[in-house]
Amino acid sequence: MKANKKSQITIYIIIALVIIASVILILFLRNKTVNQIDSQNPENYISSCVGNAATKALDIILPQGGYASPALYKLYNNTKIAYLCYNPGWYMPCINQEPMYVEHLEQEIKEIIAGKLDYCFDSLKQSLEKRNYQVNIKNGDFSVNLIPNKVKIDISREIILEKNQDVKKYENFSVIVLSPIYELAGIALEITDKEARNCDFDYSAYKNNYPKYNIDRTFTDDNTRVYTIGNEIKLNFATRSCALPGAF
Amino acid sequence: MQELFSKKRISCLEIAILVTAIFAFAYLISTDNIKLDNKESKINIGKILITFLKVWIERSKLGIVSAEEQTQPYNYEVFGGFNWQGQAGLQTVCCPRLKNNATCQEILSANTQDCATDVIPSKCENTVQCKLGCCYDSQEGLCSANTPKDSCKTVWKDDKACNIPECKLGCCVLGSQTSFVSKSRCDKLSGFLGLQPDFKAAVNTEIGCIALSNSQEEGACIYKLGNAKACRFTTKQECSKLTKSGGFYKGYLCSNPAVNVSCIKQAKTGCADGKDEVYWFDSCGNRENIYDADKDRSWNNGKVLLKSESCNSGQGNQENVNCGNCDYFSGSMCSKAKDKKPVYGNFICENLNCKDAPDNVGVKDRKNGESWCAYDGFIGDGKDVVGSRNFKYYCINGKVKVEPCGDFRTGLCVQSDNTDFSSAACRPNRAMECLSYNSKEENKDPDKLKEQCEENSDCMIQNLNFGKGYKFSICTPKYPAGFDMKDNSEAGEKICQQANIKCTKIMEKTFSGWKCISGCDCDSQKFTQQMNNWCTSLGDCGGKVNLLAETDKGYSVKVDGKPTTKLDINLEQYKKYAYPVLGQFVNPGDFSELFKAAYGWGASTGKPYAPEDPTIMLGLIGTVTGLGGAGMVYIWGAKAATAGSAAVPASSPFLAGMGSALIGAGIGMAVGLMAAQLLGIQGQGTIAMGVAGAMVGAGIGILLSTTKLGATVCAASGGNPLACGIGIGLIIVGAIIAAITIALGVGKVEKTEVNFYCQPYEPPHGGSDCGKCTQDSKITGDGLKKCSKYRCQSLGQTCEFINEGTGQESCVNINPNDVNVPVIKPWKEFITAGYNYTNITNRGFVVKNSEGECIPEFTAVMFGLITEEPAQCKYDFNHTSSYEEMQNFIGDSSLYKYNHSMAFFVPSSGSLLSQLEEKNISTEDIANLQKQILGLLDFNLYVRCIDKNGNSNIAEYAVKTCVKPGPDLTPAQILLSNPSSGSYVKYGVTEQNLTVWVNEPAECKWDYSPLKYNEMKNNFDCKNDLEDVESYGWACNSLIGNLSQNTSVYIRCKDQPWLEGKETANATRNINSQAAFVKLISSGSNLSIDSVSLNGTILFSGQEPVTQDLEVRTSGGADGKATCYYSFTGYNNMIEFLNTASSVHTQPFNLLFKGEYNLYIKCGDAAGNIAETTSQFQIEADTTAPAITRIYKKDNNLFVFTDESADCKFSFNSCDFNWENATAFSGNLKEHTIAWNQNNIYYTKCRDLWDNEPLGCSSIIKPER
Repeated sequence: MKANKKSQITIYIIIALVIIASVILILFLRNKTVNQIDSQNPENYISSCVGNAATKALDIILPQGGYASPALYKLYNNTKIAYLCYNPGWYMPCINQEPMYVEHLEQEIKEIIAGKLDYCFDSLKQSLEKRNYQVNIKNGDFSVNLIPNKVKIDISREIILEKNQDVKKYENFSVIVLSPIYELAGIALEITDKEARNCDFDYSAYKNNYPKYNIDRTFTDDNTRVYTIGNEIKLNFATRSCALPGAF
Repeated sequence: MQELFSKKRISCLEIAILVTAIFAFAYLISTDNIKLDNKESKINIGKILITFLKVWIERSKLGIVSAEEQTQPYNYEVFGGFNWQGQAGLQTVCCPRLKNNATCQEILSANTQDCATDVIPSKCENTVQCKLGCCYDSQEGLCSANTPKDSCKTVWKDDKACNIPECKLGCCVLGSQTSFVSKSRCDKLSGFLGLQPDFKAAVNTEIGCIALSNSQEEGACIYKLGNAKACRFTTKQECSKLTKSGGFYKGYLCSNPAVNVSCIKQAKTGCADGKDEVYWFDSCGNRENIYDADKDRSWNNGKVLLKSESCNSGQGNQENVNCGNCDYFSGSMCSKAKDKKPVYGNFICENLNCKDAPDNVGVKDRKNGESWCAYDGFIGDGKDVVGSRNFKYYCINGKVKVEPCGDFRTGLCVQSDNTDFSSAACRPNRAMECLSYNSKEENKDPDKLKEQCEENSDCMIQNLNFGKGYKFSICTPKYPAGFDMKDNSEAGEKICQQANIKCTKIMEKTFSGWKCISGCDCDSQKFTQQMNNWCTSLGDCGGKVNLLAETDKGYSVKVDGKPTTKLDINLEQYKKYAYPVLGQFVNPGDFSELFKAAYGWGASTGKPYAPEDPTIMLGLIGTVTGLGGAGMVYIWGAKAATAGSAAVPASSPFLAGMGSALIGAGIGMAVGLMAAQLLGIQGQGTIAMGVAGAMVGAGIGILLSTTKLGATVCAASGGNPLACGIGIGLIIVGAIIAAITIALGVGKVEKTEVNFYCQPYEPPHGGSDCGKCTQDSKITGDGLKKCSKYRCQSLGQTCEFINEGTGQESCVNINPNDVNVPVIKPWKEFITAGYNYTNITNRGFVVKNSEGECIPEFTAVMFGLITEEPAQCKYDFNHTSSYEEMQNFIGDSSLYKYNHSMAFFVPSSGSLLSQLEEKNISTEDIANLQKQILGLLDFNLYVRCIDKNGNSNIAEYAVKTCVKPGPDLTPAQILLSNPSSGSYVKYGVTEQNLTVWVNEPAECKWDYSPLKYNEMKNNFDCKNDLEDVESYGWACNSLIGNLSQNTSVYIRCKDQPWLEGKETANATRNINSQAAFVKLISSGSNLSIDSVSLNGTILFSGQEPVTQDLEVRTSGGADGKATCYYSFTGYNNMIEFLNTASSVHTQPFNLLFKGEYNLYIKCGDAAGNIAETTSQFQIEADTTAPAITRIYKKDNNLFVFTDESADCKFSFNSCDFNWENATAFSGNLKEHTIAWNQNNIYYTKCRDLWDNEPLGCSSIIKPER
């Protein structure tokens, strides 16, 4: 009976050790997967690193009307929401503040990730150098393009890896981040265009015709309209058009 | 001879008397206006003083506005009426970039510090960098309207509405989807998908484009995937992208054995991108037909089954477990099943309709996409409750959402009257336009006012009738806008004051008793009810209720200067208005006129309504009566004189007697009327006295003619006994009539002055209900109606809306623990120059001049009080025990504020006494009144204030002052003139009414040069009774004739008219040493409209709507500047030009559609010169593709003729060819040729100048086989 108990305890201990070991292994491997830079495929690292930076940039600008630091904004729910169409007066239609909105968004993302991009390449270099690679990275420009469902970042940089006379060359990195920002920007432009032309945008009719993206509109008491468009990923922006005086 | 001489003398005397009598009669009758009787004149002097104080308190308010403003009546539009002038009238400059980074904004010239760059002293529209236009992003193919030129980095076009060819929308086919975009955008989107652009310009509506997406032919597309054969269910267009060698099996499913791929049918169900329905999917993931539990029927032998042929077509199939034929427009869409399990799969048509959606009252099932209005209470008839707002509810994807219309009821929710599917929208409330209609010159005709008022669906006509002399109509808002009583309370108060009125009931004693002759309902509750109706319709004024049905009186009534509650109405009647009424909604109204304007949301100007002054009306009646009477007397008198003078030479005793009788009657009547005048007898009494006088006069006349000297009694002198008897009889009867008339008091009148004061609605004290703004279901509509600033304010004096616009708004009581009474202090910065506050204590102060003296007579001294918290303050002349007992608001303002001001003004004791003397008061009474006056020379005002929490002073705060009696040494001062000096006079006018207001009663004269007062030839008609004082003083009127190009009018006044003939060394009348001067400038010519840019033109365009500017040029008139208005329907409800007030007036239109237009244009200038014209123009919009009218072959050439100039191209393959790559016919007019090749088919398409082309081919030209 005692022997049985001992063997039971032993089995439990073994199981516990196996579980602990498995957890440690998983954590170790996971960490390694994330951080390990594959010298055979540095594109993956750059894609992941730059992709993360771009995602963070989108997280910053989308709730704020497409700006990292809006100058002309409406403070709503403690968020600075940029005006895309604005007229502070009464009765007059709004004046389009960002007609080249897609270009602006591309530029905004580019500015945010520019520093991070250097960091990604630097960390790649350091990591590979630690593994005795001779790394030569030639600086170049990069571009951000918004296309349907995606943010495409094209980086014109050249990486030359040398180790044991084995030379590998990588150039023209392309990073894709999935995001509906292009479509959302198109809807935002359509809304601002209608507000500027007709003082208003019939968003419930728009939702009827194009139910793919949700649109919400909130009126604030200074005649600002705060739009939130999108499903999981949302873009906020504000307009003030043909405002009616609140009272006498 | 002596007798004859004596007769001559008598005749001359009689003629002289007759002539004099004519004028006497005329004067007496013309001045037979209503006068106060003795009884009324015995009212206490305090009433007169209070009247003065009241009027001058109002003056004290006017004292803080500029002189220029004073000349203009209160203007609604300054406070937010639909008037561009309200903004354009202010000096604005263009700021290219504000400090908050907003680009190209117009700011007030006083606010240039807000601009981050140098301001441009012009409208942005007129600057190079900020001119608004259309920004066309050629890269993205997107257009942005109303964009400043400098903000556009690509193509900028001078059309801010983007009605340009590049932005013309059409239908872009993107595989099985479509998008309603511009052509260049279509190219861009097609490029993303790797598709050939397929832009259908002929589909020019969004709905048409959406419908096109559902009509794309689909089928099985067989292509190679590696070495294997694969199938994708798609459109032919997309298929061509996948394969060039493979095949497209139109109308086949991939599971059809005929296509020969290993996709097994109906493997699962699911939703498809861009589709409403639930679909079957095959094992390869291809969409099949719409889900039907009858699998075979759905599979349709492996062929496409159209939606219309699928199960339960045309129904929503909500939650139908057997059929997935959902329809978004019927309220269903594919979704994962939740409550019900379909027969196959996990997807079902989700119900998007809203069951038991909250309605205006109760609940109602609503369809997806349906919208309707919800209100807080009764709407319309000027009864909207304080704090109420209009809301648009709509049902979207099974949820009810809300869109609030403009707060403060600046927006109205309008709803279509359709019981099946209602549509609602928020639109601007045109309430403020209603009030402007009342003051329009053309609307003096009540029918025209009614017509114009009723044309605006937000206005209504109110008919007020308080009895004769007080019957009038007024146009008022149907849905009055709310007031911001926190931030702009004084504006609200001024609007309410539009319904302040004085109504005078006049009673006259007749032989049968007292009879009302004017304003008979003035002292009844009917008057208060009608006035309150008017008052409440102006805004948040008068007796009404708030959202919680809490009443506030909001008005006050005074009878003969004393506040009264006897005429109050029952405010309980208004409580029902706090609850919405089933089936009520706002009329959508006709906004077509306004939307035809570029961005015009209405434009109107006008002065506020000034109710017809019944006193003026009565005065006018009196004048007419006087003139008529004078005329009659003249005729009658002349005849009598003729008869009388003819009688003398005839020496006929009878005729002489008759003549003398008539003359005597005339004289007697004059004497009788004079007696009536002296005795203050009017109306029937005047007539009776006149008749009595005539009889006595006739009797005396007969006696005189039948006796030698007429001094002896006729019977004793042997005169004609019959005539003598008649004479005596007439005298006796006349005397009796006169005696009875006097004894009964016939002809006496009594006036009762009733004043109605319309004041703003004041929410309840405190803030115990603030929280209800977000918590009470009556207010929040079960959480749908959000709290707002206006709603919050209406619930309590201390309710404040916080965190506004942050999404975390709340309505809180800002001062819940306040139990302190307002502390009152003198407002040291505010007192008339030369006066001081002295003896200041916690209980009051004294107002005296710098020398410590009292206030001189006829001097207005303004002073003020400060409270340490916003408070409402009242005063009384007598001691009272509580705030509620006190009668008068300081400054007539019921607002809660820190600063309170009013004015002392006391007339001279001389003027008061003289008026009392005129009223024939006994010497004893005058002596008593004199004592009262002297008593009033040292008087106190007792003040109390109440704060927003209802804490009021227990002890009174005393403001003491005194009046310095003494000789008036200052001449009357002219305060104001209308028209003001330098005003223009209408062209062709030779006479102009001029009114001046003087600061004390005076007699004024004018002339064309600064002559001395006595030498001036023209008199002003001045109102000099103390009660006649108006807001600007005592009015004097005169008609200025012989107007030249520049007419100078010099005016001098002589004060203290009551001293006429009674001047002493201590009491002399003062005359202006320096004449006042008013210059009137005649318009050099009439105002004329020289040109209208669109007149007679036909504008061609290839798209709709069309953008076009209208330019009107005017000349002549006053100073060359005019303001112009336009309308497409007539001269009513015209809209002011966007740019006007000069000689060039422009108005952009950007919503013009094909058709003929009649434009009505009206311009007016400052002098009142008016010019009108009509203009016609036509818009021709060619939005149809050219048609081929004839085709033939000649000499191996193919000839094609089109019905309009066009370019034609062809392809040998299909109609679906790329225009740019296709071969062109030669010729770009109507005739087109190409070499004929009989082996080919010519798929021909023609495109006109506006890029209109057919959806398919214009023609398919085949050789005859």
